Amino acid sequence: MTATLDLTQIDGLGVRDAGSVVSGSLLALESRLDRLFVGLAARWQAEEYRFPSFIPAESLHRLDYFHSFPHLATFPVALDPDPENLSRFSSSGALDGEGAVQLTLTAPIRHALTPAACYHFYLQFSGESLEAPRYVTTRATCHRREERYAPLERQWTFSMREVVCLGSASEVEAFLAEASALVRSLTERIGLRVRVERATDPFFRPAKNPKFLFQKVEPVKHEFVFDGHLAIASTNFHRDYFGEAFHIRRGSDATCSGCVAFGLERWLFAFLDTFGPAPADWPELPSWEEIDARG
Amino acid sequence: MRTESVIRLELRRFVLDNGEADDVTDQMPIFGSGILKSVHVMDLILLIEELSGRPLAIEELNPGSFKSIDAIYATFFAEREVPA
Repeated sequence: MTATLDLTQIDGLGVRDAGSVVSGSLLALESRLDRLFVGLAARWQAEEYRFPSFIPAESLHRLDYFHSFPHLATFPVALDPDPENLSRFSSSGALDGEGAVQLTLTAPIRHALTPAACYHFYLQFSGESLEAPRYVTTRATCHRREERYAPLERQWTFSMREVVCLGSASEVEAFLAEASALVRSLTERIGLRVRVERATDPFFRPAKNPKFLFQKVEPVKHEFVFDGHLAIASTNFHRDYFGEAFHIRRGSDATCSGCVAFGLERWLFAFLDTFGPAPADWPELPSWEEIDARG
Repeated sequence: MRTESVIRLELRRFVLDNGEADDVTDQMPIFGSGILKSVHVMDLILLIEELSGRPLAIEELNPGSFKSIDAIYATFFAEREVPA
């Protein structure tokens, strides 16, 4: 249970203020979980991609990200390369008394640190016309600024595995229905206390954002909530939002898209909270064939 | 006083003016079918507020309440005093 789980006493887990350091058995568990999720993607012969840490700010702007989620955004900052400017910085001592970097002139910021793994796909397939539904998967280190942080549960920087479908509305809905049923069976098989709940994204000033209001009346996001408080996975139906923004076609229409997303550190938290810190007490992960056979 | 038929007429006009459809019935899914998009939600709320003469609270927005013109009428107008 959360109240009795002392993360400072877990072998292979280092606690940092906005993240965590994982090694040993815990890291091995994370790798097995990720392979399991890649195995889920393989059911649709999803092609795997690896993307850079940065995503062009212009792409996020096209998605209205900075209007909807300014409180979550994180930017990579570099110094203006002018030698005088670099000289000023290097001789300044760099940090103030509280450890904050005292920047001199900065270069223009044209990127953000990836906030969600699947965004890269819409940029990647921009302008394409799909002749069949496309299934893809990626794992990304994602960054979301939060008001508070808790190791494994809520981190500024965290690992997200996503399986994405781009296709017609019915193709995406079929994918999400199957993926959702499989993930639900997986959590039951492992023995995690998970409930599927309707959810909305954490919009800035939600009452003034039509996208939030739309999510209220047309639910498109469902979360797999561990122990009543921690979303360890979610399914998201984007309709044709990304297809329109990036001019991706499926037949005569803008493509629809949907994804199933897994927060890997949160799965570790769910394991530790459920089964305790001793690796010997952790259950074996089932195969998808076993999960299917169980129905 | 705005009658039910006037309210429904105004809602249909909004859908046809803003959405991608040549015709609309009161039973037709207006968001689920893609006729209207998320960008239209705010204007639709403003129209409902204007027609009902009262502000809408976010808590009143629930899954299905904007599903169709029938659903909008049932959720926000039926069994309410509709002012002139």
